[in-house]
Amino acid sequence: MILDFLSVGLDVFLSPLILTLTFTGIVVGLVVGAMPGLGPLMGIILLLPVAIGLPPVGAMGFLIAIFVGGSCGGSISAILLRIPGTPLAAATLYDGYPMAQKGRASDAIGIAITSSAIGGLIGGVVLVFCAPILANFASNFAPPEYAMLAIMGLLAIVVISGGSIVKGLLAGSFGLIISTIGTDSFSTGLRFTFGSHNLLNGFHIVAVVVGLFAISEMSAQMLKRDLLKIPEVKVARPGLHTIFLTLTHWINLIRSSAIGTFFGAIPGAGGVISSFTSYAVAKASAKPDEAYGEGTEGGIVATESANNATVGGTLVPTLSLGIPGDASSAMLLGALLILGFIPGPAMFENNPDVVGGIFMVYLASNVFLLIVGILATPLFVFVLRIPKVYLIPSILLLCSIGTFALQASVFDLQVMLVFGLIGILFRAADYPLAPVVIGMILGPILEANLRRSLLISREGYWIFLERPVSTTLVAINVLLIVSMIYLTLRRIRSSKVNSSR
Amino acid sequence: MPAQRFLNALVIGFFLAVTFVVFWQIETDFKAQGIASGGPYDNAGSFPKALAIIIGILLVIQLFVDRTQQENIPAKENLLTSDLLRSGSMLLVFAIYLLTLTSLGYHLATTPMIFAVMFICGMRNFIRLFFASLVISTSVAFVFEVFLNVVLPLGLWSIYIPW
Repeated sequence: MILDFLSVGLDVFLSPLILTLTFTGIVVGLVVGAMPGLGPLMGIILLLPVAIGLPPVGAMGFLIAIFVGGSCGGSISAILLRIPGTPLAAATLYDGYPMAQKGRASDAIGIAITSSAIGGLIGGVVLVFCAPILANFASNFAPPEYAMLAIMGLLAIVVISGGSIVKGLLAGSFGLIISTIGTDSFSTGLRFTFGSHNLLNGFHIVAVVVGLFAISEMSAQMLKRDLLKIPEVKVARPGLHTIFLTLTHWINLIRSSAIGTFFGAIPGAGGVISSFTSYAVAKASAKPDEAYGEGTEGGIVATESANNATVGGTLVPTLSLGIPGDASSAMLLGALLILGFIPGPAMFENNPDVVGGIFMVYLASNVFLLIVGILATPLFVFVLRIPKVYLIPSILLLCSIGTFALQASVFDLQVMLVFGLIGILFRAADYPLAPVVIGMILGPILEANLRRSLLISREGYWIFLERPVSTTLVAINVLLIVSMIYLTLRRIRSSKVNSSR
Repeated sequence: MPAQRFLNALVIGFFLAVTFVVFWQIETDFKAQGIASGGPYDNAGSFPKALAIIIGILLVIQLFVDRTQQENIPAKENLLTSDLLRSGSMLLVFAIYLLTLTSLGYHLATTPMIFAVMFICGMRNFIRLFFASLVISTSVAFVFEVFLNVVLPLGLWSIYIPW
């Protein structure tokens, strides 16, 4: 079964267009990852309007390569500037920057890129083996299981991703409400359209996401006072010997990649948690002479292999169950939906070429990452020297023209602006934005399967406890809710203790 | 932190408005269409209504949490009025750009927008401002029009570059 996917995928993948798009995606990903304030999610969002006009596997190759490159690119600025390009590279600071201070910046970048590529490949192997098995298992799922799975995805993201649980739930519920706007697929009634034909199909997800993330991020960047500053960066040229340097840490590499893949597969955990956990585990099991935090190679190997392995892990539930692991994979899921594919067991059965193609582009992205990363580091270092004064208007322009290009609609631009303002408000009040997007994507799945379950049920909501898998998922959801209540109460109690002191 | 408290209140107000709109629409428009009652097939209002109730409950909890944490809100980075003005001006310029894009057309609207945003960022070299905004707007137009076959807004005067 797995070989079938790979052989079909290889046929699709070996076309000049898809190879070029995957290669370009890696370059774009490394650029957006290296630039502080951007990152893989922003790269995917900005180029999603471009991607959805491409052939399906080419589009997914382009976006997945941005995800892979972006997850690694943040390490370059973390090592050279002590500013992680993305939160994913925050743990790389601990040893990357001290290593650069010791005159080994090129080695540090080379190790980061090699670890990312190998970690990504290990995550890819897990993806190729586990996703079809999980999809096969899920092929017996009926509406009750899908409804509970959608609730689990949303709850897990809110619980695990940190921050205020209540705010996360409010943001997720807001996303679910937005997903109900438009024509109801059951009754064909119009919901919250206010008589506007523009709202018959609801809001375009790209317009919403560009507004929420990109516009609010540019507004946040404008608050800073370094808009004209050109960062001082020394040229770094990692050599091929850094590949061998990385391989000397093979135990750390495999262990951290396994941790990264595991956390990736859990909705909400993501690359930040996996890289910090891998770093902690690597530090705990290090030899006494390895001084973690003072510029040791093992620290970079642990964090970078983990955060790129997370990408492979996060694609497992995204492709096989249609449950995104984080905001970036939610965007990939959104892209698949726009391209006309519904992630889940049916896609594995009906579109093996697309699934196999996605496997191949993911594996190839990590190989390209190694080649491009090692050879073209000076280019990414040069990108770090571009002051924000040029980047901010360019990104605003890409946002508006990309959104306009979706369906040549002025309404989409207005939606983008309104959601930009909502994004600014949410950010200012510390409300997370990712649950909004995930709620918007999971909303139609949740509602349709909830209503279908009740339609086929003769005993109302008891249908969710009549099937073993559904009952297990209900139990997990109850556990998640109990943990939410516990965490919220603990937070309130600790804040009361603090205020009484 | 009065500013933070105000922001929290603003978001809570926003969610209250969302909840109100959901109930109002279900009671008026949904009922008029006959999709606010019946079984799971016909009742298109049950899911949004359930969500609005959940939001309402969460709002009560959030209000309670905000009350208990009032004195422990961590201080955010020290923002000056000029920082807020810069960000607000950018948003204003961007909003004007989006509103005028279809009537002025891409080429007439975009270069001034980029010029204005870079000026707000603090750049004062007018020659550099002019050329940078022209290069950015033209290169984006080239990529979208030539490579992606996107027809950019031509405006009332149908201005375009025949690449």
